Amino acid sequence: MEPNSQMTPEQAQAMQEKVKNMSPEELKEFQKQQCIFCHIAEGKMQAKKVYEDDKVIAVLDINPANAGHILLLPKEHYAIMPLMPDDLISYISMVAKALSNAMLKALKVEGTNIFIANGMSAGQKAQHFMMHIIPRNKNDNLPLTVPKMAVSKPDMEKLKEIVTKKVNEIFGIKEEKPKKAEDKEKEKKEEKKPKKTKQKIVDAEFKEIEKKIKKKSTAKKSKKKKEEEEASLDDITNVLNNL
Amino acid sequence: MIYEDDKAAAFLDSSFPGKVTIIPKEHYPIIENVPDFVVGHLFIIANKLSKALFECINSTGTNIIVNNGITAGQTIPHFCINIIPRRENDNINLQWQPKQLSDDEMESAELQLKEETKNIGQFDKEKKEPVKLEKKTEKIEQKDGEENYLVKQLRRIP
Repeated sequence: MEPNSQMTPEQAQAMQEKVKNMSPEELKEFQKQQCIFCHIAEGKMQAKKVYEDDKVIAVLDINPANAGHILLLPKEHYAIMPLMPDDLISYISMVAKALSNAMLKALKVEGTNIFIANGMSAGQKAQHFMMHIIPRNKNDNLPLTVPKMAVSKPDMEKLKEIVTKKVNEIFGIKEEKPKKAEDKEKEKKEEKKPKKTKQKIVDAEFKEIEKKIKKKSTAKKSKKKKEEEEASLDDITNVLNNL
Repeated sequence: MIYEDDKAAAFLDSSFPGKVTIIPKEHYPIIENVPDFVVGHLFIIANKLSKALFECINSTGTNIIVNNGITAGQTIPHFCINIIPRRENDNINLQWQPKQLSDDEMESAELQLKEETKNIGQFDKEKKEPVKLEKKTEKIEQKDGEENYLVKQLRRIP
């Protein structure tokens, strides 16, 4: 918030002490009372409205980067983006897409930028979250291009580690630890072992079955031989009787 | 890659330390082609990733920029959202010089935009499934002893 230039230093100090002693709800209401954009959303202050519904309002910026620069803000007071609920962020981004489309058709420009500033160091000037939708023409020289600064490989790897850890925390994703070479070898050995023992068991079973088959076949053969021998003995006795 | 789900993917860009780029998995050149529910989902992820950057790189601010069109600085023909971490006195200037426009110019811009924004209707918050057409065949019941009326009609034809 910009300090009111009409206040004396004593009054400013008194105000600061008051703010420190306030509860978060009281703070929010205090911010609302001081917030220009809340006044605009409620209709207490004049502005050039371009789109309005029950959740969001879009107005033209009085200090535009180009003619047709739109400020899209939620009617409820949220100071920064992380405080906003997900469904409202989803809704306001859908409206931003529709407004960008309308801008391309109405102002006949060839490109649009959607710009959000989160925090004083990022260029946020007001204590009310808003999205800037800016029409672009050729060679308008607006400094809205992403800056470039070379990053070394080791720095990139460090950054990746730190950021992925934090992202997994926020989204609740569990990390799988990378397997060490020793563990991998152990796993391989374990996989080989049961196969051998299994084969042994199978081989043993086959051998037993083969034995059984052999026994049966030998038993059959011995029966046949006995029968044959008996037959030959009978013939011999018959021949002897006939004599 | 630092984050992935069924609709989107996010990765660190080597052109700037800490810069994150989020893209939809399906190919869309500009934001106008992206379906509404995908846009909403991408911005929710952008919000959470900017929270992560706040906490782990100790940045005091983030900028979220979408470049829509070559004149807007789009270099790759695939829609993407850029998140840039900022600190105080980092010598990056993304601030534009405000133009002083006349009242006429402001009013004409306002009227032109209002005409187009009237057409903003409902948003596709969920993926629409294609409507399945069911083929209805009428079964003609044939009563015993009576002939089918269609066959009767054929016999009437001289």
